[in-house]
Parts: sequence; structure tokens; C-alpha cells
Amino acid sequence: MDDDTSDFGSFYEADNEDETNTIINMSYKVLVPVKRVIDYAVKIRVRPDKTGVETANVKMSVNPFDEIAVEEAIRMKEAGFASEVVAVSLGPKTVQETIRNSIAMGADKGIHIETGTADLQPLGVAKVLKKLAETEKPNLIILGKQAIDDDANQTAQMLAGLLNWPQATFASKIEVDKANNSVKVTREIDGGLETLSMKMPAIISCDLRLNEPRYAKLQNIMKSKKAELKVQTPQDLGVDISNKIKTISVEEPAKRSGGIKVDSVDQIVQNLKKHALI
Amino acid sequence: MTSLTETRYIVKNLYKQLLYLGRISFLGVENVRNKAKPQFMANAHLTDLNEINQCIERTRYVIKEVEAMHRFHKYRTLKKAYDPEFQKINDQFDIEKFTLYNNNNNSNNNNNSKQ
Repeated sequence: MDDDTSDFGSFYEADNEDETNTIINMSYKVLVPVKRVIDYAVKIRVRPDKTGVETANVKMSVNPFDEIAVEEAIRMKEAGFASEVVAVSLGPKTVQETIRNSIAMGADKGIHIETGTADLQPLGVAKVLKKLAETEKPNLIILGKQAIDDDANQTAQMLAGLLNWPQATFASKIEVDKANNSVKVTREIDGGLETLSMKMPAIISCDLRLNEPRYAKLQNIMKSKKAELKVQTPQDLGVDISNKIKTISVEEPAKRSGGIKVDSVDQIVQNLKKHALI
Repeated sequence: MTSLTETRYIVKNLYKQLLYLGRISFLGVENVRNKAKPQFMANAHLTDLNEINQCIERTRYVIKEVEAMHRFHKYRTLKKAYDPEFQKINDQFDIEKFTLYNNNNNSNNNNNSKQ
């Protein structure tokens, strides 16, 4: 029971803080786009007509990298750097689930861009996010580095290009310097780490080792179900999200042929020689 | 935690949380329910507050373990999918059939082939 009261206390405190932060310059907004994808543990099956993967009756969850992004934004809020965390998602009505999940984790607001069942591609998403960045005026946009379904790894980069903001991809550590209005990001690159310092507003895409996402409390999950979401359509924003790339066919990788058991070292050597491996 | 009604409420919440973790994790809600329910029911008759609190503490511990396990499983799966370290064995798509031992062997073979 103790937990309950303390939870309510902090909830109201946060509300009051928002009200006192009336000066716009003081508020520090973080925009976090989240994507609903097939759960990481599910075995992916290709549709028989090769148009895509089977999504009907498949367990869906928040893209793990986006979860990391949400967690990072919430940690920024808890550390006092950010005043508001806004979660955004594009897609049919079912994506509200992912937005609510982020709200349950600790995001303040949710925006749902209703696109129906239309197939979305990174460029379209980046255009929508650009419009949102112009209207919401976030100081930071934190994204997952890629979605685990299409593995495009493009949205953050395209968004940075469209907005002409500095970007740091594959972040494994983020330090905000509010006084200088800059952010220091450590990136994971081939063979080491790279540290960038950039002026805000900026775009950051998260890598796997940035943090460990928390689990939402059940109580917050129930609360998030009642949260008001701002619903907009791409038409409202005046954005064309039509696809520029056509998927010709989606196919399963070739099945691997089984290995054989060898009894002796000689046989191994023989086989390796046969396949010209030694 | 002073009265039985309160502990009852806490225990119910813990059970719900376990089921929620089952639902979101690879364990599956059925699996978790089948394992957790008998254990909860086995202690359903307890009336001594100390004993109940002990059970509550144990359940909280188990919940933390399940959370950690899920987190670890997710991390490993993603690392296997995207880390350069695993690129060589990534081309073998039926990963489930491999044990760690086999994976090591295979990556060694691939290394040999490069040399």
C-alpha cells in the first residue's frame, strides 16, 4: 500500500512542475518515435503469396530499440534535463498500444498518426516526423537505431537530413549539457567508440547497450489505457507518405542442409581437403 | 502490511504481475500460470502474517528473476541478430538447433576458411 501513495504523490508533483514551467524556453521536450513490430521471440513466417511476412495472429510488441529510446528519454526526465517526453507512432489504430506502453513506462504524452493499413516506408515516416518536429518543437529526438522487422536503419538519418539537424547514430552513452545547450554522445562504431558533441536540437538513434529498459508497473499500465492521445492523419499534416520503393517479393532464406558426423581426425582432414578448406 | 485483507491484495497483484511478465516475455502466459498457480495455491491457507510476508518477499524475488531473464534473453537475441561478432553464424538460419558449443565450432570453421 505504501507504494501506491508514493506513486500518486510523484504523479501530482510532476503535474505541478509542468504548470510552473510556463516559460517556453525552460521546457525541454524529447520526442520519441516508437514502432510496433512482431515480437523479437516470434519465429517469422513469410506469407504464401510472397508479398510480406505473416502479421495476423502474431504476437506484437514495441521495437526493442525504441524501448531503449523511451527509457533514455524517461531517464533524462528523471535526471531533470527533460520536462516532457512525447511518444509518437504511425500506423493503424493498433499502434496506440505501443504508445500507451511508452506512457506506462513514463512518457507524458502520446501522438498517434493514423495511416490506416497503408504500408509505411522510412522516408514517409521521416517526413511525418519532420512535420511533427516543426509543430511540437522538441529539443531532442531519440529514436531506436532500427526496427527489428524491416531493419531499414534509415528513419533517424533521413529525419536528420530533412530537418538539417545534427545527428548521432548508434549511441551507447548520452550526456546532456543543458547550460551550453549541447549533448555529448558516445557512439559504437567499427572497432571502438566515437564521442560527438553537438548543439541541440539534435537527433540521436540508440544502440543496444545504451540502457536497460524498465518494466512498466501494472498500475501505470491501467492508467495509460485511459490516457488521451492526440490523433492526426498525414493529410492533417500535409504530408505525402506514398511509397517510393516497391517490394517485389519476400522470400524465406534457403534451408540449411544438415551436417554429418565424423568419427576420426583423418576423416575431418579428408573432408576439409575435399571442400578445399585447408 | 497489517491485515490479512491487505496482504491478500498484495499477493493478487504479485500474481497479476507474474502473468503480465509471462505475457510480454518469451515464457508465455500459459507456462507461467501453470508453474505459478500451484505454488500460490499451496500457500493459500496461510494465516500467519510473518509467513505470508516471507512468501511475498520470495515472490518479489522471483519476479525480479523473471524480469532479468527476459531482459537477458532479449539482449542475447538482439546481439546475435545484429552484432558483428555473430555475423559469421548469422547466415545459418536455423539457429535454434545449435548449442553454444556448435556455434563456436562453426565460427572456427569459418575462420579457417578465410585463412
